[in-house]
Amino acid sequence: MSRVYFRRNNQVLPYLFLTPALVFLALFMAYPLTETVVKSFYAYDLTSRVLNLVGISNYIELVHDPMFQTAAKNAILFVIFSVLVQIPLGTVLAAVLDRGVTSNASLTFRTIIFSPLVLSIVAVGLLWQLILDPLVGLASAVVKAVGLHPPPLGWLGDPKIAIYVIMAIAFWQYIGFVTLLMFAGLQRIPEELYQAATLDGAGPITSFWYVSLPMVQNALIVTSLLTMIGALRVFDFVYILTGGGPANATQVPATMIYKEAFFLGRMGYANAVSVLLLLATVGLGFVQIRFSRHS
Amino acid sequence: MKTILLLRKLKALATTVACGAALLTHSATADTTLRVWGLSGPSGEYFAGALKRFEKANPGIAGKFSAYPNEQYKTAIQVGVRSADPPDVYQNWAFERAARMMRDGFAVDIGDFTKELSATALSEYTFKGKLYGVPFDRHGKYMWYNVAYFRDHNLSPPNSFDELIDVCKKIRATDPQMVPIGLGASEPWTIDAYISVFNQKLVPEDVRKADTALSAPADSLFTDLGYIAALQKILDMQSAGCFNDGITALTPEAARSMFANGMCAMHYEGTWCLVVFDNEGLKNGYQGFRLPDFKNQKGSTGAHLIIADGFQVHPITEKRGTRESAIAFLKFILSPQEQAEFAKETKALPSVPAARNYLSDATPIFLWALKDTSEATVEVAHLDTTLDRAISDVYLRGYQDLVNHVKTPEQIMSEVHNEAVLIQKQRNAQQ
Repeated sequence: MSRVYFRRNNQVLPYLFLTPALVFLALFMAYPLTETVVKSFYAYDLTSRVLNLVGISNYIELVHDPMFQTAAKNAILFVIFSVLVQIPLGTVLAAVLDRGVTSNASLTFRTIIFSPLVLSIVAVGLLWQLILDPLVGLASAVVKAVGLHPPPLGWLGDPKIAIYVIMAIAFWQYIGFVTLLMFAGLQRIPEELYQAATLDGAGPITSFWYVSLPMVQNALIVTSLLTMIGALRVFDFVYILTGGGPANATQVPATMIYKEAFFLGRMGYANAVSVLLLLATVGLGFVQIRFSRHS
Repeated sequence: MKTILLLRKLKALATTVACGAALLTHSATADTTLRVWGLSGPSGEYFAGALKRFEKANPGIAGKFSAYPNEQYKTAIQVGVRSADPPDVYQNWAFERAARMMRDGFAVDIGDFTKELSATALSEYTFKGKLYGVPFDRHGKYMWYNVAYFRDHNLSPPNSFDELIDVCKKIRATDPQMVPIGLGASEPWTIDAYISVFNQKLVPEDVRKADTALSAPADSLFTDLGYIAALQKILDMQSAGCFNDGITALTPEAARSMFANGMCAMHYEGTWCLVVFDNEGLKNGYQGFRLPDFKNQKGSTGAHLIIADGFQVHPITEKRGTRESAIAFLKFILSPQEQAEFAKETKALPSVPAARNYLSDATPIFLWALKDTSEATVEVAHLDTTLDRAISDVYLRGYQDLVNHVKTPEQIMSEVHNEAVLIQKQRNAQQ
């Protein structure tokens, strides 16, 4: 075999190996993506035979649509609270599991913290629906038992608090995921650093603040961005617990897309929301890649 | 000699090709497979069985039943009718959903079914004077009441709306722990049931029809004061203590179970819930009445809310040559014997009243509901099945805002009016 043969094949072979993946990506990612973007400039229904070109009307309508404003506001709230609640709590739990308890206790707590993560979201949703039932639910009973009044419109029926209740349930399930990622980061910190900190007179909190946190900075960034992207795309919890109600108060972009496309039959409009959601998640993904490379 | 042999071979080849082509042509013009799409669950099991019995009674026709869960089906059928391999016969809900399939060219006129069904039942799938489907079940909605509770507290089923309010007040006065009417509106269609009937009673029929069809002048669409009065009646019921707290947090299923377990005295729901009441321990312990009339109401008295579900036939049947077998299948499942079998298996009310002759084992309440529903002369349909989807969505979310005291009836009807004007404008532009 000549050197030229190998050189030529070395140029072709990588592309040959990449072809199946590229074809797969083109078929299942690029094509639907292009279709979604193109059709966001049309008005049509799932069963209608005619597509009406409406230009950027769908996007203009979105700006004035109260449902989209609610969905966008809820998505932003979800993102902010995910970072403010899940990341600190998950990091503290991971630190406790890593150094705060014995290895046997760590195993038990890990099982407890991670167990909601393996449950089906549908099962979790239905379970919480029972707990939050306004008449016979455990949550109202506990609140009454301590002398307080449960919300008169119900935990999931009050438009002012329903989205926060959904967030709390979502955080309860996903806190294990954040803890898992942070725990993996913490376990990579060399023991010598903690020993040195102890010799310098640092206690557990000082060690956490000055040793653990700086060393898991990269894990923190990645986990935060993954959590934010997940929060932006949330669908299942909202759909199961409230369906976006009462009166659209808990709509998020993903449930709005579903409602517009399959309930109201406005496929073009749903595509426009999808495009905006895509831009937001791609933007966050881009930030994640930049930070990962930087670190 | 060689030439003769070659010619013979060519002739044989030509004959083979011709035979093959004939077979192919035959299979293309007369497809013997009848593709039926429907919901999974008890009704799906029944239709799969019915299709087998239909095959047996019609040798040469093969049935293929595809079943989908309820929510999934709503999307699947919309995609399916446009696909390269659409169903010949598909399950679809009556009124606006069925009409949409007709408008979009995915349903065909299926001819005469007057021998099988009543005029009222046929009207649910009749558009522009032609029949585009047939209902196979017709559920009626009733205010169910706990017979023992009513007897023990000297209460009688009300004959008017005012009496219904009085019953609620009496229950609250004598038994503060008892909820008079369980209402779970985490899904707002439960309130839509009340408003659909109230609108029939409080808005003149010609006004309602013109508004529903969006044929009224734009400035008068949904502006009749009866619409506001209908929404106000829900608030009247709420302030009289008729309903439980946390209406929009409670699921319809939880409200149903409240009634079945004696936690509320009344519950307004369709006849599909009979099996739930029976299974949860209230068998023979309940009775029902239609929502009572108002004094000086504008609509006809004794109206009955009916929810119909049926089948439509796809135009592909003409191309496949399955039109006749599709219609024969519909006639088959609408025979009184099959309808009775359907009722036995699914506990749903059949659309053919004669089915009762084969239902000697059914409970008295089931037979009463079947008779009462099939004899209803003034039929009301859910607003969310008759109105344009965008308008019905404004109504549906308005109900939740109404009972949560976020919006007034006037505000909700103003939003409904604005949406109706918008949709009317869009439709006019399309024409």
